[in-house]
Amino acid sequence: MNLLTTPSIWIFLPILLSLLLILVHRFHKLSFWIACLGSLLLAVAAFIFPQSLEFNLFGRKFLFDDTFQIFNRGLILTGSQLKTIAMLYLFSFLWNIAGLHFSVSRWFPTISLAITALWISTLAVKPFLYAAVIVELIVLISTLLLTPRGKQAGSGVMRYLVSQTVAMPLILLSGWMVTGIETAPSASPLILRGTVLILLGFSLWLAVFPLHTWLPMLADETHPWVFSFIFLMQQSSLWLLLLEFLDQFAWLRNLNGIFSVMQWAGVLTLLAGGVLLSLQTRINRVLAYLILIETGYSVLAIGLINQGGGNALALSFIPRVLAYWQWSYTLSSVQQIAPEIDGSFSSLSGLFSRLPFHSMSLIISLLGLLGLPALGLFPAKRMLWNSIANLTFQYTPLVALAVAGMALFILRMMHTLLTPDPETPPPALLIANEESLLQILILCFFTLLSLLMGIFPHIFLNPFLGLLEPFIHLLPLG
Amino acid sequence: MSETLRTVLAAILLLSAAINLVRRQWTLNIFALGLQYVCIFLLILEVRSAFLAGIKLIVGLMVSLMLYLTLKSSGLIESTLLRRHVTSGEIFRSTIALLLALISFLAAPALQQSPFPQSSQLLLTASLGLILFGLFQMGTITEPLYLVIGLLTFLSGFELLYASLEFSRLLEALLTAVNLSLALIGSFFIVKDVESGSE
Repeated sequence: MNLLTTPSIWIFLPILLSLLLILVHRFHKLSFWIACLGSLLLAVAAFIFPQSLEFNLFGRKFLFDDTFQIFNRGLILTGSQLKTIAMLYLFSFLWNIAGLHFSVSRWFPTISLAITALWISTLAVKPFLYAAVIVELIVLISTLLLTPRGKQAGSGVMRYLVSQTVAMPLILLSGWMVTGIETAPSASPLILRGTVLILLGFSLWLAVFPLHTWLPMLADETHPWVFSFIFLMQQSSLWLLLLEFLDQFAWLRNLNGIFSVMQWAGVLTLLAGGVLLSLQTRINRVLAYLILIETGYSVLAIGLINQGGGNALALSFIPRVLAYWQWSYTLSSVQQIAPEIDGSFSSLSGLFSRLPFHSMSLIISLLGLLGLPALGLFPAKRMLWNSIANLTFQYTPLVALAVAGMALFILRMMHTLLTPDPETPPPALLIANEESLLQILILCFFTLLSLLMGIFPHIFLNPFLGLLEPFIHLLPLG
Repeated sequence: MSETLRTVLAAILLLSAAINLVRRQWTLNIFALGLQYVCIFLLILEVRSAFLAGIKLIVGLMVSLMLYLTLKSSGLIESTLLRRHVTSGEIFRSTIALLLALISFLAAPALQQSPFPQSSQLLLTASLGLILFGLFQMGTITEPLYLVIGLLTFLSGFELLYASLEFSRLLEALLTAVNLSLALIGSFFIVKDVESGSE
């Protein structure tokens, strides 16, 4: 067995490390630091590793194989996938480094590392349809984190488990159903059935409207830090998996109307997210609707793949991560500093006078996700808005309504944060210096980073266009 | 194995799934789950070698045992001999179970004709029945044990169907890991339920 392979480094090594972390999970800080260091090293290694998988060290030549054989099947991680791997381990690092400060499960470092390795294995397994079963395994492991400590499992986590489990057979059956019929005419009933199964499977996985009901329920039950990590990883990896499906299955991408269906699904999800967000009164649920909105944008981007949607999708990955990170960090920090905040909107009244930097950070992360000019997501969203406006007039009012819903929510949020509750004492009497210098610096740093990405996208975001390199059939010029 | 025996096995399989759907008596449910896996093992011999089919049996029995031990250690097991009145909910679920069994029986020939010609009609009836029972159970209940039994039933139905379509060792290994993880999650949920109830 050849162990000098890329899957050994980026799949088996972190799984081994996460198994070792089980032994030290009682030492909270130690396990977090090991997970941080492990994730960072794996991210850096993937980033600097040559695409040819060959390098010289101390006068010796090392050539890594991209295939690891297991049960007569392969796990393949090519040089073109290294950027994706680096990105996923970077997410794991970012969530572990700050997770240390929040009261999340002591299993977070262990499970987060294992989940990252498993998501990478979904992109590596061949035949890639088997990724569906690995996704199910990830879901099962994730439920351990998504169930809060000392409380019984809520209905959100149950619904999550059910919807993700139902998706798995749909994906597996779709692949089997259309094996060897690439040459059949596109109207073949088998192709149509396969397409419906794939789209339904992905809709369940990604909580596309109207299959999203479990998402806000789960967000309300779970710690925002854990929720943001699990769904960021899930969203990011599933987009790449969907692109892989479109890339590998010629019958799927050549089917008449497939991209129109995706555009409509994206626009309706976006609309549902925007409208529901504007009516939201629970702060913990906000992230769920933000995820729903971003899901809508990403489905729309894939639907517009022939009109530059692929680039918009690639450009949005990192700014979206930063916005999720900033939102969930700020919210977790607010809940840690002020445990009396019960999650209702009214409990946030006048928070600005008490936690000004946190309040501003909440608003800035929302504005970033809205696509405000000069913030990180603006370049990607501008591309999408332009594309739909050029394509048809049907989508524009619906997307505008969704954006208006989100903007309305931000205004409501600003109003709540700035308006003090008449029953609470005046700001001068409240505890001073509740925000530590480190917290202020972290919040300012992420705001600055978002601004830099929005102002200089060609420097900060263009390198991530390389995420599309593996999809040579879907994006031949990409 | 004769066709009559296989038909009887399929009937027992659907009956055990129906018991899990209808009756809310935990010892009986775990026993029915175990019986379900024994029937799947015998039915799957049609398309798999005894060794490979045996893996499913061992995994199924391990899953049932894991759930039973969790319930027992949590003090939640009541005697199977305990007599209870039949509730209106049980009558409703029995009617649904009959309807689902009828749907799977009627739909199997059409399914065999079009997407699954290589699967036998009996296997399709059994797998479709399990999938439908599992889906109904998952959709109507949030109690952890029954949810997990519903998920396991749904997955068993799918595995039975997929076994007749394709074989891959990697996929078998992954599905085994999924079944065992699901039982672990079920045990975790049950323990959490008990712990939070006692606080």
